[in-house]
Amino acid sequence: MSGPPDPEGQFIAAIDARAWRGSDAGDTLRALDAWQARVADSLVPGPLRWPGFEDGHALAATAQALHDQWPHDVQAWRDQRRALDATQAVADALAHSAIFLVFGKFNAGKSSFCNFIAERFAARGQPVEYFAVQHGALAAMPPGGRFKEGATETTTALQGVRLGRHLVLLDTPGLHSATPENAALTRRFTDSADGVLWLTSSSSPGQVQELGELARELHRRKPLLPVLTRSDVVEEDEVDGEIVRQLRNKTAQNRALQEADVQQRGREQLALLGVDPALLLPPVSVSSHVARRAGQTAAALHDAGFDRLWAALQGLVHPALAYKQRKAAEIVLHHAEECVLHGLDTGVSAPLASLLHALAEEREALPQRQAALVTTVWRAVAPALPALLERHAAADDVAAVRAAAAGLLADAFATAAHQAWAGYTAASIAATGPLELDEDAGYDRVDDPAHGATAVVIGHERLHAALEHALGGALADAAAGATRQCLMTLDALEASVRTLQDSVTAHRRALADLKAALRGTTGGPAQPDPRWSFGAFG
Amino acid sequence: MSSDLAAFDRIERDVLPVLPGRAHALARLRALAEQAGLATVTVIGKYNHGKSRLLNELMGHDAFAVADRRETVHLNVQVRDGVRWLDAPGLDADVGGADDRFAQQAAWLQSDVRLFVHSAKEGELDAQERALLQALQADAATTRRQTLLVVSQVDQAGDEAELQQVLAAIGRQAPGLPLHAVSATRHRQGAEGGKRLLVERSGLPALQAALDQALQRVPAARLHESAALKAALHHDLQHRETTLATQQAAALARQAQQRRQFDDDLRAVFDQAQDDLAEILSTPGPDLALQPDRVDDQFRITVGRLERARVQVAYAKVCLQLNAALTKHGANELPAAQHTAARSLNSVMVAVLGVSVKYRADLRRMFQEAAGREQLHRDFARYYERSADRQALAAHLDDLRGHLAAVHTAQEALRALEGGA
Repeated sequence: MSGPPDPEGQFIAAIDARAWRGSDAGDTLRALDAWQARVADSLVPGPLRWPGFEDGHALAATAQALHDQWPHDVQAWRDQRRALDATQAVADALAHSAIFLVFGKFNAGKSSFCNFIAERFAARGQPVEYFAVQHGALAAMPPGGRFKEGATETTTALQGVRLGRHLVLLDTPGLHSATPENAALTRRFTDSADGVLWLTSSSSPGQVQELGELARELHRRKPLLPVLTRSDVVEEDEVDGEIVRQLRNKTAQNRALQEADVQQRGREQLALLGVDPALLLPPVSVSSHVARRAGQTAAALHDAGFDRLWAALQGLVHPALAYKQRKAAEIVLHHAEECVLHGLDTGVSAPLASLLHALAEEREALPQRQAALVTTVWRAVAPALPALLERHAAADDVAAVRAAAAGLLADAFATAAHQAWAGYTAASIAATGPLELDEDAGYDRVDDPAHGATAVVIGHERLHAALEHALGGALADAAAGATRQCLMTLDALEASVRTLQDSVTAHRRALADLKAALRGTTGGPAQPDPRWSFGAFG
Repeated sequence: MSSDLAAFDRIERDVLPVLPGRAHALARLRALAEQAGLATVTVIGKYNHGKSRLLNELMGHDAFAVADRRETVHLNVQVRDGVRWLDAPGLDADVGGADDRFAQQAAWLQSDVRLFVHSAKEGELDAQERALLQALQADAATTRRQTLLVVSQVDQAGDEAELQQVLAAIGRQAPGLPLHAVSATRHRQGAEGGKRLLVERSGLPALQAALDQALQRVPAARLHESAALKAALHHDLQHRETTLATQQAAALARQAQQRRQFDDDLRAVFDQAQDDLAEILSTPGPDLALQPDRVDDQFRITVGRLERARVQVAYAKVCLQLNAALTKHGANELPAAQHTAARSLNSVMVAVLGVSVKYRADLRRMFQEAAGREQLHRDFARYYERSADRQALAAHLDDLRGHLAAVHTAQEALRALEGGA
């Protein structure tokens, strides 16, 4: 066969020739489901322990809130996993086809691009079938129907076009549509796509922030082809009092400049999203306007950039096919990464880290709290001693003094400790012990022989000193003992937190291994990217 | 002019630390002073929407670089015909967001008149453009800075019908803002080829006229904005001053109240001591305690010994009461850590009263005479003020005084600026 090169025909033939079906991924799916079950088991029933805390303590409340939350998280993961079967159903409806998602802002010319590609398939005698998604199902548009084009925000429905027997273009109104049902539906369709065409208008090409919305697709290693649409320019002149307009293609040089710019910034953005920049195929520029006006001749199509587009689409086929082979497993793998692993990050690892931080703060605050407690108690007890000594001096009742002083200390300590260590169970706060006075501690009595054995002068000083000494010791012991008890309480909670952290780390590693096995690579630890943006669609 | 800028150096030194949240207002005031008499026209919009080209046409001079991709990555300034033209990078172009920061600086800090540029080829405004336009309009309400909405590159629209559709859609998105549909390319081509229709249809003459009008309103707007910014700074300083003064009053009241309580408690001890010692000190005759023991009195209770004991015990009781009062108010050292040797009197007591044996005459002087009592009271109070809690409170008050002084310095700096400007 001879004749001019025909990239359009080659692409259509290539699409037609492929067997577009996924491979059996049963083993991987079972392994992923088992992994998710293990994750669930490590969170429910709640694994944290906080004996020694009352419910009201902030740390206990935090731990309890996590225990309350995790069953909901686990249930949500299960529900999301089941919903993936619906994605599979959509994929089945479009089985044996390469599904390309046409992504871009409302003014990127998605509809007119799809319409033009459809025209080219029709021109090659291929069947073309437009469909829209209505009430959750595919509904064919009447024959001759096409996507509505317009320079304003017109596209609102999820729609697609089947080209030939094995190619589907999906045109979405936005990856994050307003209504939740619509968003879920859109997601199901985008999930089923095998590759992405990123349409970006030549008048402001490569607004790379848009790619944030594609993070999910890109993390599944779907190939991404940037297409610079409307790569044309109007030239005007004034002839005989009339403005004469002529639409022409942008020059090859101009196109190369824009493509290089988009390529460079696109790769930077992918790197920023934590995605392999190699997923970005070299951009191509097209103008369906010029091609159409020039009658879609072979030369017109060539000049408008379509030969390069077909060649680029051909390049997309191979990685898309590779993705399709893995698709069933990829969808569940990414559920594991995006829902479960991401959920572990935000719902487990992050709160555990802040819990540890709070534990450390509590730990650091204890010595100061202990010192403040001692001060408070001492200022309450010591000034009461002179009156106490006075009361029992006449009876020379040292035992009564000691008992009363011990009582004062016990009461003051209990009150202050209750405040200083609010939230710790009473059992974990040691009480003050008995007062140990020296054997010879007592009132100093000077008896006047003239008055028999009656003391005429009774000194308090020595007994006071002995009492202060004993009280100071007992207070310090009790405060230190209570601090030790609090530390043990903190230790117990911290140990359970660290155990759970270890098992999260183990889950992360296990998933990374599963992922590496699926993709035939040696993967590092799976990390959902924290910068995924789910901003509003332009 | 230079003295004015010196006033800004002073403002930044004195006001910024007090009102860190007002950095933008201060920077804008400085920009206003630095550009006195020179209105700044800034272009704002997505990259590649023809902003640089538009400025070139408005200036009548190819001062800014133009290319069919993201080109402008820094702020570029040109001064022509008494106008400062500022070309800013496009929004949303680079990955790191540095371009956006420059664009923000241009839009908010530098501009008097904003040209909000949007390409007709792009159809409607997107969400980001709408939000920015709304923010600019809200700003106009307070600062009277004007925004002209320019739909550029109208020569690149599909056809007239499509252009009208786009203009109508944008008009609905930005109600109340007149649209200026322009084509810099058309203008250039018409001007160079002497083609009247192209020049007229370029929309440039009409935009130029609107811009001239806007520029005429700039001096009045600047006066208004400058006054509003200064009033806001004044208000914030006033508010800060009130807050600090309230805190200071509360701390002073606490300080005075604690001291009153301490004084009362100490006086109560002295009163009690006076009563308790009265009996001993009023014993008539010679002080028997001064009567020395003889050698054979060694193992006997002598009159002298009994009297000495009586005096010492009475004094010791007073000391315990004093000690209790000091402890209650935190003027005493805390009991040393566990199980160190007990001391009957702590260092404050020793420092004030000494360790010498007290005789009747001493006690009389110390506790019965007003001068002695007052001396003791003063001495104890001095140590009280040195205690940790009182020192912390005093330091807190010092802090508040420092903050208040900073506010007053800031207020002076602001007044100096107003005097000079």
